[in-house]
Amino acid sequence: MQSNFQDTFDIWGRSQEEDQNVGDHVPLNNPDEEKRGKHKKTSLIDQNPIPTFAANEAVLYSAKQNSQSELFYGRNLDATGNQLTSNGALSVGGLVLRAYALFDFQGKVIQKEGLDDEGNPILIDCSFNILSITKDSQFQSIWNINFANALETDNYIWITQSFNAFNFVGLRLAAGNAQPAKGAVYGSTITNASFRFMNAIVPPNGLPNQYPPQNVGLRMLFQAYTVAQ
Amino acid sequence: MTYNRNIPQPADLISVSQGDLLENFSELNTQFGVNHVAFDDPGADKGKHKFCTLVKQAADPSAQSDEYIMYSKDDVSGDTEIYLKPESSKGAAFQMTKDGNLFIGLVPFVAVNFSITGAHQGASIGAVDPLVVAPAGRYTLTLTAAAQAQLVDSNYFWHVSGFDNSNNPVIAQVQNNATYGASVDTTRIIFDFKNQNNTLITGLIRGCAICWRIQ
Repeated sequence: MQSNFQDTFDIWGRSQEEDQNVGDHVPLNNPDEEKRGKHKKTSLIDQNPIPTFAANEAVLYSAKQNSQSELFYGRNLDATGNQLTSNGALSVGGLVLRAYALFDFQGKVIQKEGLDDEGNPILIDCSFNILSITKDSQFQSIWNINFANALETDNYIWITQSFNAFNFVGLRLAAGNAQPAKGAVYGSTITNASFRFMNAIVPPNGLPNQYPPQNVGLRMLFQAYTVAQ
Repeated sequence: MTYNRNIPQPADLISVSQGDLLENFSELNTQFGVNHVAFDDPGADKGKHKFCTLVKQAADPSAQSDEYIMYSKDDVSGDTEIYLKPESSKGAAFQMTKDGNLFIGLVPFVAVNFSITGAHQGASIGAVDPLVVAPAGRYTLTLTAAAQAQLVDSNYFWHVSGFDNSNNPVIAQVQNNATYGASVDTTRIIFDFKNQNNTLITGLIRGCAICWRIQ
């Protein structure tokens, strides 16, 4: 009988001080009684077959997808589960945001004001999975966006936008146009490790376009998405 | 069997308590084993979760400090969905899932990277492969039946980008036309890629498009 109690205690969960990885639950003898019965974490063992989804319940579980464990959920008598993660990121509608940045013409990532855990003001980068953004050494208004972690593919879906305030002589009616920088081939501009971003000027009256005559673009926006695996 | 929290009693005979205790241990193992790998599992995973079944709650639970609560309740559509409640000082409960997706307010129903011929490059969502190119520089993206089924009208969000190897801007946009519905409807969307001369680009190397709907 003592062995049963000990096994129950051990499997239920050990204290964080002792070994937080043993068991998913707050220890049965936790000094704080209000914590007893609650979870420390939730380790989900891959399911095959997947669970069934009854009415008035939502079920969170993990299962293999392309040979790796992913998080799924089901509810309301769903016939199959719905994938929530893909290769280390959240998936919404099958689309995964892999990188983004909001930056200025120097390539500096814009920072927003926030608060730390203690309520002190801090600055938070408006970027994700960005290692660096460097101005092109030869051309104005071209930036090389380097990813911290390479994307799964170079066939990703990009979004480029810019905010511009033109007042150049002869270009008063010009428009700014954010796009991938020109290159001989796709792979010289768009790779799984980087993206060459150009903020071009579209001149009035169909004048020939080259690169902007000077730095253009007060704010540039970039996003990269992949389809969930 | 039902778990009995009041055994053994001081006056119980050992022969009675033995059965009561066995029943309680058995019931603990059975109930714990519904969502968890059971106590008596021979493997190394005992105590971990097989899955996490969240029984619908009638109201939002209250979270103490240093806690984050995940639970389920019915949303405005009457579907049992997953909700999250931050620690007490960090705001109200919010919905985490809706109709099979994470709930962020918008959900994509089309996402595609395509070549000059309109052929999909890599995985795609919600678009018939290939896009139709006619004339060169104008791409008609036909929604799959599954994508169409997600739409109640043509008031959705779109984004399109293009890449070519010329020295010109690539201006990507929904095709200009007399009416919105002529370019954007619930079965397809038409994109133009033009240069600074308002001329369709015939040498486009790649395009990509995403369309979102309100969740």
